[in-house]
Amino acid sequence: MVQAARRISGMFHFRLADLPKTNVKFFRELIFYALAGVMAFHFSQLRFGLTGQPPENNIYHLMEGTGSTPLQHRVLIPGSVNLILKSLTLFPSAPPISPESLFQHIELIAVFLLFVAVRHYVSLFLANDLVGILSAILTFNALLFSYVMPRADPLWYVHWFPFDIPAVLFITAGLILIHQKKWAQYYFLFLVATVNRETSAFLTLAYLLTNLGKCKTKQVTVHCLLQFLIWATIKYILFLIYIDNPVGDGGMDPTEARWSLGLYDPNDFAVNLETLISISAYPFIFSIIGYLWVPTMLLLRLVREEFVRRTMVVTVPWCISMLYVGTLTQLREFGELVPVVGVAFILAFQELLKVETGPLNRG
Amino acid sequence: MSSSGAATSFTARENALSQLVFLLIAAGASYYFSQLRFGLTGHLPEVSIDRLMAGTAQTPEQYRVLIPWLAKGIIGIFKLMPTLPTPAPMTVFQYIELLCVLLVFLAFRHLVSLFLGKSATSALLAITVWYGMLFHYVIPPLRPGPASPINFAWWKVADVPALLFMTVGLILMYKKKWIAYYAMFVLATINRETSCYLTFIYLFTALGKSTPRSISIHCLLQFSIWVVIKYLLYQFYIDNPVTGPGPPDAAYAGLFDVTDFRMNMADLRDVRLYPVLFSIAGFLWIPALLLRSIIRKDFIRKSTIVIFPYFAGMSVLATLFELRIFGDLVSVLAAAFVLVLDELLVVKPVSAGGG
Repeated sequence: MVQAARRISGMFHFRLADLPKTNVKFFRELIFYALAGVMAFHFSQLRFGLTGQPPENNIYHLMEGTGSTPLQHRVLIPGSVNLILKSLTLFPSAPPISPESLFQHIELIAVFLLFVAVRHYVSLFLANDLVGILSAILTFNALLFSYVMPRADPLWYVHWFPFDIPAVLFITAGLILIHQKKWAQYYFLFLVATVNRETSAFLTLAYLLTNLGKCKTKQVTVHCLLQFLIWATIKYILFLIYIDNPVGDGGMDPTEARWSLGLYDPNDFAVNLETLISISAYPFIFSIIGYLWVPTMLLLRLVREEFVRRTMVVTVPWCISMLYVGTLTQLREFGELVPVVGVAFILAFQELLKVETGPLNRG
Repeated sequence: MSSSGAATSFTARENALSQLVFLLIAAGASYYFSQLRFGLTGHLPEVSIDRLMAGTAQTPEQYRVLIPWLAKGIIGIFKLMPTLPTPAPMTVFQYIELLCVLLVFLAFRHLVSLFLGKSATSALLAITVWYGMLFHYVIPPLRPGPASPINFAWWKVADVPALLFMTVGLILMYKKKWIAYYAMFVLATINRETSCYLTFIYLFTALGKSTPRSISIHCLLQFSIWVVIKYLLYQFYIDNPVTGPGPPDAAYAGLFDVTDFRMNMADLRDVRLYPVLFSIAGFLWIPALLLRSIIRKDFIRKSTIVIFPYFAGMSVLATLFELRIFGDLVSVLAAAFVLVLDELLVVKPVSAGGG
């Protein structure tokens, strides 16, 4: 009986290592892309099932250019959808596609590419490719807290905006390109990322932090100025295009919006302070990036990769600025930090393992 | 925390700090989870907490009486003290569940630390069990398609305690603390019949390690306890209404719903539903199973085999796409995931292993 049970147990003893090396690589890639596809699909379904669009800034307003600023300034995806829909009119025989469906497909592709990018980003620091694959799964879990999970008390669903997930993708890809110093691609990505969302400015900050003291001051200054110039130009053009749009969450008249000029909502700071006074909101606020940020911050000194350690500094100005220009209880404001913190978490975890395993076992 | 350079271990102060941080995260996450559970799930009127406490709910839900009895006991104690306001039943259930989630965190950390032997690392990765729980007990198992309504997850009293019992059961089984294990097994069976999968795990992990006689005795004993409890509960609630469309005197007698298998097979033919099914334990089960051969700890590696009889059992006895039914497996799968990550990140001396 024992023998029979062992034989049955052996049937489930699937070993990737038993396969020839070329097959292992093929199967690993196959499994990763299949898994990334399935996770992206599931994430996309959850996004469109469990979130809500504010009526004054829904996809139709954003496509028509009548949404409130600064949301309307984030035109990359609505503009792309407009372009695709217009292109489709050139093919009368093509089946009609709804804007909702297009937005959903674009987000699905962005999530899929994000998992691929996270895997690649992790592989820059860790030789073991399998850890990169596992990191993509952890990223999926961490993303849920910014883009799917609602605030429970009071029940407040996440707002869905088309630029959110692409912004995370651009930050991840931007960090990869900064690390690899592929400047031509980086500047192209930076341009696209800025048209998508103004948080691309943090890529410049990440560049500055990771290159200070490593490159010539002149070179760093030129890169920073160039990025700032691109950012400011794009923001100014978008500002001029949508100068007459309503402003902020309340859709204020732009002539009365005074110094915020639709770039941000000055009411947010007071609301955020009110939130911070309420201790019952803390378990929710702390769930940013699935609580991973807490141990990552505490273990940051263990991380040997200077690039990753320095990029983590970005989280500080990010959080401070979100107090002014975002709403704390909308955790999606912190979604772009998922790859930054996620990679630092993996590296901190690895170092922690080494510390706790002891010097003999370090690999 | 110490810097990376020459640090070989943490100081007592750093260890204490890491434990404090773990407890704060565990408490915060448990609270948030509990809030989500009572905000994002639905209660079936046929098995409402009032009916469960009164013993008039449909079977088999009514057989899962541990928590309703416990809640009744707590409310009864409050009633004995007239100076104290008697809490509402819902509040009592909510507090019990909050406590259970927190205990799952603590138990899972302990379970993982048995194999990793690393206190801070185990605390750090205890969050993975929580990620898994969200997919079973909070996130709605959405069916794709424009006409599909959102199926919110059902809130059932026995779910989270069942995961807790499974996690504690694994710890006690591994440590071979049999008296404590059998006491826990009795409670787990009164809570939910899925305790029988602990016996499966025992069988898989003990085969080849213990004598066939010892294994047979333990399996028979657990089976006997399980059958006796189930039979007593069956007799106790024999007149209760039965879940599903069948008459109360149908062959299945409130033990399971015969229509589930047909429905599950129909669902399994719809490929669009697979992402939901694959999201068991937050997708952690996929690397946990595919890479299980690299796990050196026999106990966890072999315990993952339970997913096969569990899946087969649930195909017949429950609704597959109601993911909460797989919740009991979260600690097994998350522990396997943690050990896979550990194996991939740390090169160990050849002598390490066993378990």
